[in-house]
Amino acid sequence: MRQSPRHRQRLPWPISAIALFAVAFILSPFIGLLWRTPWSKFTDIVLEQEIRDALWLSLKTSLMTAILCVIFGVPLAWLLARVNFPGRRFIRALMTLSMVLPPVVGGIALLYTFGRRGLIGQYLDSWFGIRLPFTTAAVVMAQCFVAMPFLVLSVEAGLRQLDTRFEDVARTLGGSRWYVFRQVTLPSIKPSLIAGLVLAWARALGEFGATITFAGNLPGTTQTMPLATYAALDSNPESALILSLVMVAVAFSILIALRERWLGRADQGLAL
Amino acid sequence: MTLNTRFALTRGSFKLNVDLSFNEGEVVVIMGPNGSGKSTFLHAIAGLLPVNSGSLVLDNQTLDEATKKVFVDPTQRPVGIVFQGGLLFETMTVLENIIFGLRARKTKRTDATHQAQPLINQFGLAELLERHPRELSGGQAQRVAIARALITAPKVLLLDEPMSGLDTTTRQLVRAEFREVLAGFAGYRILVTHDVDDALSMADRIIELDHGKVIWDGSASEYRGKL
Repeated sequence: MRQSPRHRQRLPWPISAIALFAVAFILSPFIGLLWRTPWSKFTDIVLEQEIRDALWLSLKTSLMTAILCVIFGVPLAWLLARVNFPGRRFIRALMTLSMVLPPVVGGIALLYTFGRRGLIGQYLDSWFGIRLPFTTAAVVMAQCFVAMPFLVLSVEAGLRQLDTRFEDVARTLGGSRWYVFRQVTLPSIKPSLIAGLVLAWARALGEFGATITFAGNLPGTTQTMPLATYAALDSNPESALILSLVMVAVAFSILIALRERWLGRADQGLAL
Repeated sequence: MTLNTRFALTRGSFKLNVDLSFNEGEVVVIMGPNGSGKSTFLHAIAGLLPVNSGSLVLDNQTLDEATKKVFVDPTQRPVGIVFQGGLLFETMTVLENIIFGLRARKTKRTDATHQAQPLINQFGLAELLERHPRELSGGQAQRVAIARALITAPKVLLLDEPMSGLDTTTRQLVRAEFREVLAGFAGYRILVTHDVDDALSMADRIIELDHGKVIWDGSASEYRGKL
């Protein structure tokens, strides 16, 4: 039966009340944060050496992660979307697993794989003298581990939505595989690629559990913004508040940018 | 000169088995219900699907022969294809769509644009060159798609359900236009449709497929008599 527009517009009050409660619950911590922020000390604290180091390290590592995610994630997404190979379902399940896994578990797994006595780490150490834990490289690895699936699954969804006959036509017109990928495929999935990239970047920026477990908490080397915030909570709560606020601002601008430009078109494909 | 297609092609549980030859200059319409193998047949000619046995020979050049391990890549086949709705590249302008086949072969943009002029004029596209596909009507998009397919001067023109998805009025117009286009193209012309009126209005010869097999092959007038 079709409902009249008037009937549909009427708000069912018990549902509205519950929904409103949920909104209040999500919103109130932000208000609390703003309320307690020591605005007068804002610039002083943001300009402190340790905070600046953490901010710079976070930006540097998360951008590095975003780039690595694109370099490795796009080919993987392409394989998952287009080639029917054995183990495809396993790889997709693995991607989803590392998305829902507690990051600290990822950190432990990385430590026992790439640590000095780890499965791969022991050979990296004895053959090449490479020790990954407690380095900036380890921060990037931890971030890639948690952020890569966001990019892969987003790009894969974009590729699946794209009619393969576009690429077929391009091939019959003489386009090599690489030319077709660059000129036809990539521009067509741009919204999903950007959405995946920004989500992966945001996830990397907020990474905590895997980083502190695998890379440690060394100021200037592995202490990113979330780690610095957590560390400051004990010694200097005012810094923690301001650092939190900076991260809220960054996350919020990411969402605004996403919503305005890309998410509207790509969100049907983003199973998030 | 002929296009000989005598092959079998398996896709999952579906099997296409044909033995057909085409003459230059005739307009052949392939009919059949969904899943009869019409599109698969076109894909095989274009090289988008390899055959499993038998061969595909165009003007004495083998394009695909499974047993001899001969397979000419789709980029190297003189085949142009037009799909339903045109399938224009949405991120490119009309002009970029038309000259894609030249640009893919490393022709400079200015040279490609120059080379495209006769086609642009023939299809009356001069006013539309800077538009994007979403700003075109169904009929216009179809014209651009044909110009794009013809820019590489193919010997074979394949049209896969080019008129589905158009409304009745546009369909009448496009049908007339198609007849003109097909008349102006000298090579092999194969058109796939499931619409009898489309078929009868354009075909010299009609082939009907069902479950991957040819169930009718004869002239359009014979087919009309059969109905």
